[in-house]
Amino acid sequence: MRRSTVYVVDDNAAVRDALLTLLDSVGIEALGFDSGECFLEQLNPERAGCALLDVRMPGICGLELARQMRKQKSELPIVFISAHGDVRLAVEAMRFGAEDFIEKPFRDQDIIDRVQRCIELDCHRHERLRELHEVRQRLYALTSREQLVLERIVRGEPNKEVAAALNVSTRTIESHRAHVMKKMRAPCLATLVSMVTTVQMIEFD
Amino acid sequence: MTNVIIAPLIAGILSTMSANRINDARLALYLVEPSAVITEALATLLEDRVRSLDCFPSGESLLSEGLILAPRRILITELNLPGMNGIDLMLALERQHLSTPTIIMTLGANVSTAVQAIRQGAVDFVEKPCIAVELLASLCRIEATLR
Repeated sequence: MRRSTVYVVDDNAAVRDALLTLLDSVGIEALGFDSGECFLEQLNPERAGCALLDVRMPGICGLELARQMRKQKSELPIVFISAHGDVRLAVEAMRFGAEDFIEKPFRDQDIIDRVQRCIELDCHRHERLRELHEVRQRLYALTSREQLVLERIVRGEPNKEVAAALNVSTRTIESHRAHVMKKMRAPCLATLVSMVTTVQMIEFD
Repeated sequence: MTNVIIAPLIAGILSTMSANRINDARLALYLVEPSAVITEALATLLEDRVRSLDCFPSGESLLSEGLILAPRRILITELNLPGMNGIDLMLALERQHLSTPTIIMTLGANVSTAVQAIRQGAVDFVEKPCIAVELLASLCRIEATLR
């Protein structure tokens, strides 16, 4: 599994240290911050992991911090920790897209389980991003002619039609097509279509 | 006993509700609530504001209807029902390919049930008894996303 970091943001030093010690005891790398402001400065979107955020803090509160993170394009999974059994707050946090909302006092094992699940999720997400990046690189490495052919074959046009449209022989298209498949490392047309669709979907976002 | 507390509360809030007009005459609601008193109070609150309102005392009674997928349908259900609970009902609809945006409501909610409900796919979770204001606000939000 790729290296990951858990960010613990809590203004209460005792709680923060307890969490850091707990995570350290199971070999999870963790960093502590006493405020949302400090955390945002250190946030590295390249790094997989998760954020454990205290809901109530002086300065930026947990929910606002989560909003800021998303604004900074961090998709880090978020687990909130709250000292108050506030259902409304929990609902708001979950609706916002938090992975979890844990009440204090918590069981150590609960924290470990949830943090591990989040890390797994985030590693998976990073892995997918990396794959996507690779596919995109391959797409951009195609010649402009090959890109034209690719556009048409993923729409399901047979070689003959592509040849007619681009005003070249079917043989030429066959050869372009073979190059496209090879450069994209696509074993079949279905894979190629799925690659292109995924990239388009992400870029459309 | 709880009905005695809740009914007047809802009735009291009703008068303040006209400000919170939802433009959702197109919404079709399923309301699943075992208490007749609460059902009646919620029906009074909601029926003029929606296209249709169908009330059921349990999840099973809803599922035994010949359900069809309808646009702008929203399920409002109590969590604690006789038989299957509100979350199970939501999941059962999903399994029948009748996924419906769901608001779960309950009395004496705790954080972990609320978190569970939303993790499982509920759009919102509102606490009884002060449910009316939140329920309408929640409907407004869902309605906006359906547009």
